[in-house]
Amino acid sequence: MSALLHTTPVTSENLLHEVALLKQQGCRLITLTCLDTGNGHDVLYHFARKYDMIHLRKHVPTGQPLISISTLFGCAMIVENEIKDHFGVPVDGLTLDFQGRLVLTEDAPRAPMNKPCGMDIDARVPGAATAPAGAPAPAPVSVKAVPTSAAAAVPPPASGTKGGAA
Amino acid sequence: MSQRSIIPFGPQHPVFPEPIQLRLVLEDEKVVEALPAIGYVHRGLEKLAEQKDFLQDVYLIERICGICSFMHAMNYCQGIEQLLGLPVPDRARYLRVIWAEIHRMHSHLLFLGLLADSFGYENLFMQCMRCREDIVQVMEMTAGNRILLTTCCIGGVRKDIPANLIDQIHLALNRVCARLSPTTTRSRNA
Repeated sequence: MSALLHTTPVTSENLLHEVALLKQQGCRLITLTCLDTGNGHDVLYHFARKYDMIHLRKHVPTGQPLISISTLFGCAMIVENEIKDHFGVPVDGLTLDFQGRLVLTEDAPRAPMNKPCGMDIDARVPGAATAPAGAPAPAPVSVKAVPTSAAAAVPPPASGTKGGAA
Repeated sequence: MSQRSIIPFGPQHPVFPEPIQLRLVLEDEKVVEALPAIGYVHRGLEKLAEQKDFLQDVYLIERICGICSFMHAMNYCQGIEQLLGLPVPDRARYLRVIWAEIHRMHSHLLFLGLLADSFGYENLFMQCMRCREDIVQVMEMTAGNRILLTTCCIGGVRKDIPANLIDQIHLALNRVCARLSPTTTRSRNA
């Protein structure tokens, strides 16, 4: 079963409540991941409870802050600072705020992990989690061509491989 | 009145196993603050992975970490297979488990050895490295490489383990077991 099925959407209002509930249940925080979705960012919280994994998904619209969970899980401070560095997402309530300088130096580009401007991005994978085996695979990332980008002039890499699968 | 000065310590320095910069704030000769800058090992692999296709990314992701490289490649392949609904042959799944377990053993032995070395227990470090060598040779025998196996691919594996190697793998594992058992007993003072 796809792990995407277990992703629970949360809002700014109930994020801390949901995380506190998971903490009460003995879950440990594995990590957070962040994705530029074009109209903002999706932040995913990955928790483990014994051999189960639980995922929360928080959509952060552009310009709005993400609420830190570092008051509940102190270790989240590292990855929340990293998200702030790499994606430029403002994070409220960090227990230790590196001001966007945890992994980036002073002369580093701002928010380098965001998609380039001008790309129409839908990074979601509609129906991928529920697609039956053997069904045609949906495009995982739909990115329209950017005529001005240098990457557009580069031919796509060959996708063939040598040797077969066992 | 004491004079404050800042001395950059690192990012490259002989005492550091990995690059890091500590900005040491001194008042006269006394260090009153040490501000870390830890981003020197961040390589931006995520950004590079976005620019390559799924098949190329297997090689890239296998190089996230040299110690647990097979795990990264296997997890990535499993993720892509799940997204695409790709079936994986049973034999390929068994082979993945075998390589993953062999890789796990070498990773744990390396960790234990380096841990021992870090607090001066060099004898345990040498014992662990000796045991690990057998494991690494099994990886070389089955995959052709000692660390970066590069056997996992989307949809299965690239290589097979022929039946005539099974005995040699058993011999190597028995040798590891025979060497490791007294070592752990002595190290735990049991």
